[in-house]
Amino acid sequence: MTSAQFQNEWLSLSADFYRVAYYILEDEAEAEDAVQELFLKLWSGREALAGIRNPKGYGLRVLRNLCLDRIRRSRKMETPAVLPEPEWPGRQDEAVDEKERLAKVLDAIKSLPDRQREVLTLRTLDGLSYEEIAERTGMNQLTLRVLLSQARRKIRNVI
Amino acid sequence: MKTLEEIENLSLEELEMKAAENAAPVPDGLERRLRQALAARELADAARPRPARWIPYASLAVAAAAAALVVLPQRGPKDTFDDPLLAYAEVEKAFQTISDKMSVGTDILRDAEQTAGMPYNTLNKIQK
Amino acid sequence: MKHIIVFFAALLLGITASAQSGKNIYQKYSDAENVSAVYVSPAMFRMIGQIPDLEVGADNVNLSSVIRTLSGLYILNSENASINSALRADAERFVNSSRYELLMEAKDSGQTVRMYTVGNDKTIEGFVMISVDDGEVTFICLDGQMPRKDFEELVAKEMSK
Repeated sequence: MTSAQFQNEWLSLSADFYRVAYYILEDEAEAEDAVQELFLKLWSGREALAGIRNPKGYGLRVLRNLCLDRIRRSRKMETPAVLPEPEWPGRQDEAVDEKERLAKVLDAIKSLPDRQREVLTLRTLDGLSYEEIAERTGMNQLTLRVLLSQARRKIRNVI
Repeated sequence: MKTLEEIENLSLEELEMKAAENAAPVPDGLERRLRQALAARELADAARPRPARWIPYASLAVAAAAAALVVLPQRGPKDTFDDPLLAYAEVEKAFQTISDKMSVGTDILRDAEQTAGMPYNTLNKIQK
Repeated sequence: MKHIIVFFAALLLGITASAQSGKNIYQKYSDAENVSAVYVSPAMFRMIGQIPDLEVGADNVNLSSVIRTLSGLYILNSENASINSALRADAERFVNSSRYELLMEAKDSGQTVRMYTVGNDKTIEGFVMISVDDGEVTFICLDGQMPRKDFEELVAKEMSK
């Protein structure tokens, strides 16, 4: 599934997913986090999504389970008496590293100036060519290259 | 606050109903932020160190390329543009790039000059 | 059989490597995937020079003084990880084996930019820029008879913006 297909089919459902997440979690920030988690999960597995006939239904079910996990995790934190089951150390470290890296990159993206962020997203997520981005934004291609190179450098410094 | 059981028992129909209700306003820019998160995912994945792959046919490709360089007659490259105006625009852009990259250097020099209080030959040479 | 081909390839590469030039480097890499390539020939520069009242694009670069002195422009911008280091090596071999002098070098957050010129006090006959950033290598090679003063003014003007 291409990035454009994914965005057409799934990103357009984000408002629906948000409303359900809010209904379950009763908190705006938590709801948005849950929806973000949902999309990251869908995106990672997007190859397998092409066969799904009811994207909304599928997404809502996954979202419900993600919300349940969130609530369970937060309740576990409130009752520290029970020690969490030790996971296989290697895998847990990797998962934590991965989450941390993603959080850092996301923060870095948010702190970019608008033009750099726009160009970076168009290039990285949508996979547009320089020509296509130039057409869309009205910037010339060499300006784009400079902007992208600056944006990538900032992101790299953070990782 | 809903119980875990209540949530577990939510049917698909109920979830779809809640999705359609306008009980809470959807925050502005949600889709934009989601796109950023997905872009962040791509970048974070790209930054993960990958194991090097040994490509066994690389040597044949090199041989073919080398042969082509020597065996084929050395013709000059073809102009990228047919229209001199387009070519001019590209030359202009090239100078812009050169300036942008040179700015990186002079910014560093300016900062260094300020901290060290020493003149730098390169900066002076360029700006003479 | 494969070993014989590799041996000859190495031999041939050894021979051709000594003949580095902007043109050779351009021809070697311009068709590779994820490489954008631009070449402006001496003939095209002559045509550009004949355009009356050269108008400036969005970036307000006044090139007309220098452009009539240019005879060749090669640009390679590569995001092809598998050729980036070879391109960089070829470019560096080129400037190191000719009379090019380092004009400036800057390193900033993983990006290295080097610029070289060749010529005399009054004239720049060649200019090369090699920029290496994570995953991206840019090679710009300009040939001509550029009055050094004009070139420096042009670039300095851009920088002061």
